[in-house]
Amino acid sequence: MAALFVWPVSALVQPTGDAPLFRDITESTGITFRHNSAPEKKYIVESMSGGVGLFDFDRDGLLDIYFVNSLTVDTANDPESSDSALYRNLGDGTFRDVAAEAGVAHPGWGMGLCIADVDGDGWQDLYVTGIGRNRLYRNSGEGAFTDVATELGVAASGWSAGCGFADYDRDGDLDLFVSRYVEFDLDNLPEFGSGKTCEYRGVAVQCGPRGLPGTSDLLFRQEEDGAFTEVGEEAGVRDPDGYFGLGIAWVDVDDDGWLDLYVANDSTPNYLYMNRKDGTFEESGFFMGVAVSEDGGEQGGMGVAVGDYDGSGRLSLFVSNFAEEYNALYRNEGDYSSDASFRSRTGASSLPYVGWGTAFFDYDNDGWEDLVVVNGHVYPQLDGARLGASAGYRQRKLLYRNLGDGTFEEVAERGGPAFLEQRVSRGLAMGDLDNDGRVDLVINDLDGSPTVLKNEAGGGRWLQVRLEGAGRNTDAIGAVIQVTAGERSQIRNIRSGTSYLSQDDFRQHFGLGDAGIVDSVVVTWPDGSTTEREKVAVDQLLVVEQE
Amino acid sequence: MTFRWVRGSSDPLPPKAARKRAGRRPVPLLRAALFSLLLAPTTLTAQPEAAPTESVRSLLDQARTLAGRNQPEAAAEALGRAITLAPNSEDVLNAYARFSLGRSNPIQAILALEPLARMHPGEAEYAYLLGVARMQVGEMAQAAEVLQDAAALDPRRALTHIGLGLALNRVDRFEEAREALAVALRLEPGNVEALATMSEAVEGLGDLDEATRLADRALAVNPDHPTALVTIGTARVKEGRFDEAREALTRAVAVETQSIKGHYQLSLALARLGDREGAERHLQFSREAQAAIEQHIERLRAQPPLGSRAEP
Repeated sequence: MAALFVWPVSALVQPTGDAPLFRDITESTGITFRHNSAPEKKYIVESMSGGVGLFDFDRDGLLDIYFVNSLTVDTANDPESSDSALYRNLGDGTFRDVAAEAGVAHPGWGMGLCIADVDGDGWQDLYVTGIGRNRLYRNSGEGAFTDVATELGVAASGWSAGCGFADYDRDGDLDLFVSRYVEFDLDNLPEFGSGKTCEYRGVAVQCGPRGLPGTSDLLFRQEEDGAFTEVGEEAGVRDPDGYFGLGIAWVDVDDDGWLDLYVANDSTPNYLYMNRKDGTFEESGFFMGVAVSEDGGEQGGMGVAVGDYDGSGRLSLFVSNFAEEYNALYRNEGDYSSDASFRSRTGASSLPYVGWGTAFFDYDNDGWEDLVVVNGHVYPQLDGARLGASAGYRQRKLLYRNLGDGTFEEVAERGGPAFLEQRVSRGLAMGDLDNDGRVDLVINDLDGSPTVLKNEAGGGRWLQVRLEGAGRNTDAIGAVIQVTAGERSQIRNIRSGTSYLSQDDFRQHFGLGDAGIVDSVVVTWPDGSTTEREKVAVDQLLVVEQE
Repeated sequence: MTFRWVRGSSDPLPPKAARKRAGRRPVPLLRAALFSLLLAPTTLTAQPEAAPTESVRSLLDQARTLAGRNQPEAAAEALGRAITLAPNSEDVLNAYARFSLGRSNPIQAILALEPLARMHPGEAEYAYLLGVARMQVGEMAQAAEVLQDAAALDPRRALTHIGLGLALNRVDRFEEAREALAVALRLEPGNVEALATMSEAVEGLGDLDEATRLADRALAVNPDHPTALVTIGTARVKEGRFDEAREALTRAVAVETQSIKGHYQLSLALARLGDREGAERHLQFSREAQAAIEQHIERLRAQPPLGSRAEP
């Protein structure tokens, strides 16, 4: 029988009326990280970084935060010139940067990250993507990390962007997918503002991605000895057309127990690789209805959110896109997806913005997953130019409240001042930083300081679930959790690599409305086995171990 | 303001443009039939022959005469000399712009219309023509901006509101498109283009029943209207009525063979019906149509100025 652990209950907070839903607590946290980026963004390499991850690297029950930093063209040969940061959660609302002592401060020209216990020792490791090479920081369990990427064969090369671990072949260990963006030669830079691919509405801007050659993606299969073999081509996920890969999502789209893989490609069709259950995939993005817009046109394709927003029991995909393109909500119909962007009332409001980090999460604990998107343009040169319907360089955020009928209401004004503040945001991660049963948000901005938003929305009952997998996949990445309370049933999946080049908390949060008890919690583990718990108390962190 | 041959959004592409062109994805261009409907008269009327001189007036007269004699190359050359002599002349720019549009050279037309619209901000016609030219090169968002100006200057012209609605639909601003098309339909209640374009906007907003009603009204006038057929087909796909979707979309792409959306939605319908081969075929058509538009825009940008020796 699987063990059942109960976390102490936090006080139930009543709704606070007209008070903002979120409070910006960045200053009080002691977080002083600043993302490094060239002010003029003359080259595309200076516009795309900014992943952020939430994970408990020291297993003290508190979420820590990793901010990815990057270099610039001018500092490209000085990797020590910018510091990524690992903020240890001290449990009192403050954080301390321990990146230097942990050995994770200088990944180089960083882009994003994903988390997984790669070696199955119970300690979460950190994979950081970047330009030139990637890092796999193995967690020693003693507050220190060692880069073993080269040793294990996952250092890669070129411009890596998104990443995510998953046991795609169900052999018990975690494999790794890495999306890659464009080929970029620092010794042969494209000339700023030259040519048609280096202008926007008549304004000279950075070149690309169109006009630059794309780069293939990588799938690293973990072998028995813990090393990895790159198998992208034989698996059918190599991306021979060289699309511009960014955000990714491992998700079982057709609910057959095998993880499929979604890749958001910038300005090119998105991929949905359907798992054939034999170590290979079949690319089916177009016919599954998730590759392009409703008109058949390519869109920006930056971040990816996954959620059962309509209570159908199926996981839908949401992709953040460029300005004057709507963010795409692909409703999972079972055998295919349909574009529900405008029907859901998320499409129109997204048109002015360039979207990046995004997540489905139940901010008010009413049992319906809401949606957040953080925004920011790529061309600072647009400030002062006539942009029509497009917003300027710095942009506000979008917060959508799920109305429970397949539609959303945009409520950023209620979110608080931080949601309306004009920023240049990129990565977003969600997680309960203070274990109060409400999901908080951490945002990494391209220019300057990040934002930590404490959720003070109040609302209903909740349940958080943490899984402990048997074998080497100790966080049960790929598992699906179904929580039923009364007539409502919700599902979540555990994913490594979320949002835009970021990592959400592995613990899964369920808002329960006014339910007094959870009727059942059913866990479908990555190997297909299941565990069920009945009559689970609300307002707690439930830890479920796989037998 | 001096008319200068400056590099701008409508300038020719460099010789070896990569697979992907500037910035955003190509947007479907106006259908040829609809475009001709939207255009103001562009041909220069014939004039009695005048002795050729280098004065601007005489060059304009020459151009008209030559155009009337079906000598477009020579007319273009005369216009080119006129604009060199008088780059800020309203008459010259106007003639240059209309001639360019008539010769399917919207890039050159834009180069003339932009200064015209700036110098004469109260002239609805210039804003309208500039909007049409922008649509011809796929710059729908920019087209919408100037067509909004044109509509504000001359709100009684249905064509302007229809063009605005078209442009707004192309950039998914369906609510604004609906408002513009509602004005057009108040002005001309039975206008088939307004009805069809409105059906597209309403379908985009998710009101499938109303979109179908509007599309049916358009089809009652023109049974083969491709926009109306694509609207119905897309609505049927969303409703899971794939047989009906296939029927409507098949008719649509038979009329508008380069319809990106028509072929794409048809591929979805066929995929749902289990016709994988048909789905792949129409997906390929959709992708090819998109590539064709990109190439068309590149050719437009590569066209030399009117009257230059390099002009074909």
